[in-house]
Amino acid sequence: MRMRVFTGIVLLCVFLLAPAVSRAEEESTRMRRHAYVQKPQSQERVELEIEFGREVSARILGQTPLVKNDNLLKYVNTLGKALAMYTERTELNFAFGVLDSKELNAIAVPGGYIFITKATIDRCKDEAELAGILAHEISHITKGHVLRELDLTFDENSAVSGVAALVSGISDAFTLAMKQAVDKSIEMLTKQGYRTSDELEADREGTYLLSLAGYDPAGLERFLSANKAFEPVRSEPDREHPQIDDRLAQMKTILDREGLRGLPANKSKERFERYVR
Amino acid sequence: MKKTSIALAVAVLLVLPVVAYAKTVYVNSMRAPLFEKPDMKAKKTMQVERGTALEVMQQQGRWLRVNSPTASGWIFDLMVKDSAPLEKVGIADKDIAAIQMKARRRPSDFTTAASARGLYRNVRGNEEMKLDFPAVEKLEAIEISEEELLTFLGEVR
Repeated sequence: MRMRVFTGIVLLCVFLLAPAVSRAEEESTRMRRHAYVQKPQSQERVELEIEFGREVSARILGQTPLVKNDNLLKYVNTLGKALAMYTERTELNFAFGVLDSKELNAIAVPGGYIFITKATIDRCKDEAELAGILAHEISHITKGHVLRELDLTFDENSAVSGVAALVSGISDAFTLAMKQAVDKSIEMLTKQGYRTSDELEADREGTYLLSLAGYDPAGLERFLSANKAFEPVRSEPDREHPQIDDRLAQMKTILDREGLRGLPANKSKERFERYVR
Repeated sequence: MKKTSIALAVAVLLVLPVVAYAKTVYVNSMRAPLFEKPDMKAKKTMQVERGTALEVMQQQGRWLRVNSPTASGWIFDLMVKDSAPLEKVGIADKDIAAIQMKARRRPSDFTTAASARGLYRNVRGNEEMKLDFPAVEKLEAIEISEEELLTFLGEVR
C-alpha cells in the first residue's frame, strides 16, 4: 500500500516537474547558446544594417583607397566569401576590401563589409593565416559586436528605423540618427576598438570557422604569434583591450581542448604566394 | 519494492533529458556538414541544406545531435539558429542614389583625430567628408558563384 502511494507520488512528480525541467533546461540551453545563436532579424532590420554599413565603408574608403590589384581583390573576396558560407548570417553579401595602407589593421563593418590592409596580408605566411584574420573579422559581424556596442538594434522604436524614415517624410530624424551612428561606429573601429570579451569571442568563433571550412585551425594563432604588434593603433590607452598573450592563451586552450591541432593542416601556401607576392 | 523504486528512478532519469531537448533549429549557413561524433576530427556523414529544420535531441558543448526525416548526426551550433534563414538581402539600385545623397556630411572631430593617427589622410577641419561609394559598389559587384567557392575550398581539402 505504502509502495503504491510512493509510486504514485513519484509518477506525479515526473509529470508535474518534467515540463518545468524542460523549460529550465531550454532556458539554460538558450542562455548557454545566447552567445552563439542570434535573435531572429527582420528583412528591414538587415537592410538598415547594410545601409549603415555602406556609409561607414564609404567613409573608410574615402580616406584609404583600395589597392589597384583586381586579382588580389578577387582572391581575398573568394577566400572571405568561402569562409562566410559556414556562418549563420548568409543573408548578407559579404564584401572584402584590401586597403592600400602600410598599417597593420583589419576592420569589420556591420552589413558584411570587411577591410584588411595590404601590409597585413603581406605579413601572412600562407592562406590559412589570412583566412584566420578574415574569419576573426567575419565573426565580429556575425556576432553583432559593433551594433551591440553602439546599441543599434534598428528596431521599430529606434530613430534609425525605416518606420521613422517614412513617418518623418524628409526623414530628418532618421538622417541625424544615422549620421550619429556612423560617427560612433568609425570612432569605435578606428579609435576605441572592441571590448575584451568581443575580441576573444571573435578569436574563438574564427578558429571554429577556420576548422569548418577546412583550413588549419591554428592559422590565426600562428599569425598573432608572429605578429604581436598586430594591434590596431589606439589613441585611448585606457580602453580595456585584451593582450595578445591572453588571446593566444585562449586560442591554445581551444585548439588543445577540441583536438583541432590534429586536423589536416592544409595552408594553401602556393596559391597564396601566387596572388599576394 | 526496492527494485521497483530503482526502476522508477532510472525511468525518470531516462525520460527527462529527452523531454528537455525537444527543440527545433534551422540551418542558416550555406554549407552545413553533419558529423558522426561531436568532434571536428570525426567523419562527416552528409551536408544539410540551408533552411532545413532539425530537431535537437542532445547538446554537448557547442555540438547538437540533430534529427530530421532525412538527416541525423552532430552539427556545430555556429551554423544554426532558432529561426529560418532570411532571403539574401541587398540594396536595390534605385535606393543607392538616395543613400548616397543622404550620406554627404561634414567631418566631425573624431575624423580629424583619426587623421592624426595616419590611417585617415587629407582631412582638414571643415573639409567636405570624403565618401567613396563607387569603391563600395566595386566590392559589392565582385560576384563569386557557390560552385566557384566550393571549388576554391576543394583545393584546400
